[in-house]
Amino acid sequence: MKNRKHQDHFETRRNFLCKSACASLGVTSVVNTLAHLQLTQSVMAQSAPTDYKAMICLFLYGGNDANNMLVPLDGVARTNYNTARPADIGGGVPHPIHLPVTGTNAALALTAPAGGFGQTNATQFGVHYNMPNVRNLFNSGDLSFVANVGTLVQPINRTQYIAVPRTVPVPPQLFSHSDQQLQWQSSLPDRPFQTGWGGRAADIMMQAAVNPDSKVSMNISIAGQNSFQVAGSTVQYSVSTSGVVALAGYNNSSGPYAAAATYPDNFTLPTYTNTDAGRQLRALDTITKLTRMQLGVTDQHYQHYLEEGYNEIMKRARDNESVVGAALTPAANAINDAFDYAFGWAGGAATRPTLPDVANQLKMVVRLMQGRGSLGNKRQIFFVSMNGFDTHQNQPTDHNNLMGNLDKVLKGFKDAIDAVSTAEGSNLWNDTLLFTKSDFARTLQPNGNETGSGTDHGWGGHQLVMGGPVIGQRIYGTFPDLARAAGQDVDSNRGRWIPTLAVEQYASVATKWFMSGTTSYLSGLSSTDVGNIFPNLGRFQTVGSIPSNLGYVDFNV
Amino acid sequence: MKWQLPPWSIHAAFALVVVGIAVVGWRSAEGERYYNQEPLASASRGPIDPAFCALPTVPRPPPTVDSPFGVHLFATTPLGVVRPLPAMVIVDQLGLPGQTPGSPAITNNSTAPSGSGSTSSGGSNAPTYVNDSDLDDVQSVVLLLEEFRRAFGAMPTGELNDEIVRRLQGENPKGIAVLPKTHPAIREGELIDRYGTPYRFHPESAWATTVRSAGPDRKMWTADDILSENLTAELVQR
Repeated sequence: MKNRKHQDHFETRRNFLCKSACASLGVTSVVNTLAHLQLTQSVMAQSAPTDYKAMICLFLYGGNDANNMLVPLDGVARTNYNTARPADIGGGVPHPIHLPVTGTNAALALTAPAGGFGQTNATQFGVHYNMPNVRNLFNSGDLSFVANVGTLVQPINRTQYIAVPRTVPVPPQLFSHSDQQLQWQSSLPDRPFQTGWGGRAADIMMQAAVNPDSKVSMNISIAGQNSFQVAGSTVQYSVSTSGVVALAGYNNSSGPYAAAATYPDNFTLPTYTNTDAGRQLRALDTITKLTRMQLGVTDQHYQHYLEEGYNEIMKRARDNESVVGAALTPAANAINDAFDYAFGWAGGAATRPTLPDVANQLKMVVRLMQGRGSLGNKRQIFFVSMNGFDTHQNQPTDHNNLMGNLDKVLKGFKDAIDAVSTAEGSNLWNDTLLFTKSDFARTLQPNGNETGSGTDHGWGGHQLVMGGPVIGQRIYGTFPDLARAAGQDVDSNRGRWIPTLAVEQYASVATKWFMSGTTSYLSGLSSTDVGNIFPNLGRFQTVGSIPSNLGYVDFNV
Repeated sequence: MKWQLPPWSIHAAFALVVVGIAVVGWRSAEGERYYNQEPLASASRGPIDPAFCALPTVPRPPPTVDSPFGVHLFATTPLGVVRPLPAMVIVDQLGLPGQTPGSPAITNNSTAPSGSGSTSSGGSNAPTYVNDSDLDDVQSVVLLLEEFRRAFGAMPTGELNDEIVRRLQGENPKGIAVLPKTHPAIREGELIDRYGTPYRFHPESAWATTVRSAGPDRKMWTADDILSENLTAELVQR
């Protein structure tokens, strides 16, 4: 009788706990569903941007010697430059990597904006003598420099750096290539790598439905896989310098299954042609599905997540091949010409120059920007790279060549964008923002006086930003005094600058422009999202604002 | 009369539990943000070893049981004393200017125990011999770095010779030392090769550092330079 009574009223402890647990599970799922419905509703309510913006990350792998890219021409910084890289190492011979103010191989002086550069350690600056185009772009207001940027965990000065014990943390494995590359691309030096900041930006913007008509990933790399674009959900799509990386045999221009099917977009099943090739391809697809599919469920379910992931990659590769192939359909003659001219082509029947890989990468970026209508993205992030900056030796030759190639490739990129704009009747340059990154700068003091010598790993360095929205002809940030064993130098006598700007500060300006229409964030985005992309930004500045010496973007362009 | 809960109280308790669970569910349904924005407060969210980002601290005093050389060959960490390192053997094997390859190793450390002709290291009586070649020297330096990496968790931070030497001598957050403060192979704070030229260190990553000797001509970046091979991959596989 007792048990029956309790069955009727379920107030035994066991029954109570059981039923409460069941109820809680039910309630939780309902609440979860409601929450996700709310998210879905908010996304549906947002409107996609009408303008197009492209952000291009140019990574200079190896650690660019920014000390010879942007050079002080006077002031205390010049004095210290001459001490480390002397104009006379004996017999009136300058150090092989010394850039003089005048004479042979002199730095190319930059024209100061009205009111001057606003730097305290020098009033005049120049760029490497192999960078005449960069000088011109700077003077025309299309390019600026951001001084002494680097990886930081927290703001730190020299006193704090050399303190024993040190109480202010610094990024782990300073001066190490791969670690610093990773930290530049993640902007989270004090955490294990999970995502790059380009990937986080893409995730957040895709969640905010910024690219509702997207047919291909918002993150495209022309330089292979990278950490910058690693995301939680947005796939990093790689395109080679010659176009889509096609699956063997499925290429539209050759191969046994050329044009055997059409792929409307990522979400529609292909339409097979009524030919032998089409029927064979359909049969092959069916067999592929059957061998991997968990029979009896649906064709979306596989026995193993890895199998499902593999199949998804195969499908995406074929889909993207079609979409990106369409984007690359427009003629690229003007783009090719722009880059070739920049590298010395005389035009007409003259032999075209052999371009460095980075030029071909940026050429592909311009072609994809030209075909942006086919890709369906209103916001697009590109990643390109340039190698060879680890100039421990032969710097006089190697770095000069690197500066020359960087100079020409930036000129070619600008001219190619202008050529597309002319053909379209648009102003694509105003939608373009290119910025550089590099592992680190290099020691101001070289590792020898011979022509075969070079420089070693540093820390903070100067970066350049270029594009229509860039407020050009400026040097942002604080140019260091270049004093060794003092000022911004670490605990050595080599000239390795403690950064005065963190990577996230530098990157967040470009990201805010990318996330905005004109002067306001796109629908569904806010400064909170900036904080999510750059979780450490609040350690250096107010997340929602831009420091007065870092506002390199005109949001009204 | 037996006391009994009023029926409404059971329902009220049940309702409270359900509401509580609903609130928890609602909070969890908001989805986790990428990261906490609180400055530094989020450090506890990741498995961050403070050794990587913090400080070099003053090396901790050596434990009472130390090497016979008075050299700090143990690491005192918050978790206790790490195993002794066979570092001194490696260091003593490094060739020095004027030394004959394969000859018994010597040390200038006055506290070294007296041996029969040859001086052994690490408290062992087994004789130690100088490396046969300069390539062996370079690989020994890599082994030394590997010893440090295995104890510390990463290669020493830095690139300059004196900087690396200081890290290997214990100027690091865990106070791990694999190099003595004084040794014939250390001159003016730099680790030198058998030709008297300081080695060059090239940090590739937290797991690999390349070592370069200038070779017999004592000039860096020439054809006779001796470059180390990366041992990390082999050691990891063991």
